[in-house]
Amino acid sequence: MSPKMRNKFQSSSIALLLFVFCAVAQAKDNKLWGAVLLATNDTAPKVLPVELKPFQTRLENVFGYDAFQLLGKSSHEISDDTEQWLIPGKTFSVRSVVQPTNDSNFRVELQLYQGKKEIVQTVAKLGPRSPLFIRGPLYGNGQLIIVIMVRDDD
Amino acid sequence: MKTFEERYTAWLDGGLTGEAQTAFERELTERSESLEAPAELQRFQDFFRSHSHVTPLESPDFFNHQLLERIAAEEKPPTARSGWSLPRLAWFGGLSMATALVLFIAIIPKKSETHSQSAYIAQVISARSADPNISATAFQTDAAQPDDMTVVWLDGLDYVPENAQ
Repeated sequence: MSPKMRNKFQSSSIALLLFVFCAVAQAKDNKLWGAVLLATNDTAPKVLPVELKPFQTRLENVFGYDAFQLLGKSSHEISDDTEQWLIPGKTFSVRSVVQPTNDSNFRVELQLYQGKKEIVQTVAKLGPRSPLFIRGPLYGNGQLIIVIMVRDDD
Repeated sequence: MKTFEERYTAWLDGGLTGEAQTAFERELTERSESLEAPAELQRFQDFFRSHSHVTPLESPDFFNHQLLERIAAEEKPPTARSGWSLPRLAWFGGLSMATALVLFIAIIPKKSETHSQSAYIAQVISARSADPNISATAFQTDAAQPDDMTVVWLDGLDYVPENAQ
């Protein structure tokens, strides 16, 4: 290899490494996160997960409950076009296929199962940290809410 | 006037003739300490001349050409290496890391930006249930408001016993 070619090769290698480094850094830590909340009107204070704190008021307005308790949560790394499962609680499981879109959002296909029974199929476009809420069945003296969100941190 | 050593060398090489040779041999006999050595050298000289065997070169010009090229290459002053030296590589590595860091900071969106409420994007494209007893309705509270929220509302689900979850 001539010196000129070697210099070109070295420069190209370093540029490629930089690109890969940036790409890996940008792509890291995108996760699909799922949680099961129990909404009640209990007077005892309940702590909403930090991820959902900004939605406290909206949850109260939409669902008509003022206390939200986390019953279970689960997450997995997003892998393009690969079927994956979230199991945020004993009762519910979610089959998911996630594809990043060109506008930095995600196309999420979900199948929500209650036990072995599929209760809903949905396709949604989600942005990072933009949860989709699914009103689940009644439970005890409250209501179960399933939350699906793309998180861009760990 | 040639020195003794020069005349001695000329005598050994057979370069002295006639009177010069006679005069030098006379001088040698006067140097008794040197008398044995020249005679011995003369014997060796005659021996090598009679037994020496020089292989003739098939391509003497080519041989000379190669020899001169080799000498010229060895006499050439060393040039600087064409590749990158270690310090240069180290500097470039540091520079690359700094560039990568700047790109990382510039390109990767900061958490505070992604946490902003105005960036809420959740659009339900379809929602349906295979169970005819369950209805699935999707709605967004008010996309124009900062506190909008997207919900898939399921009706017709069975009650879940309290200890099941």
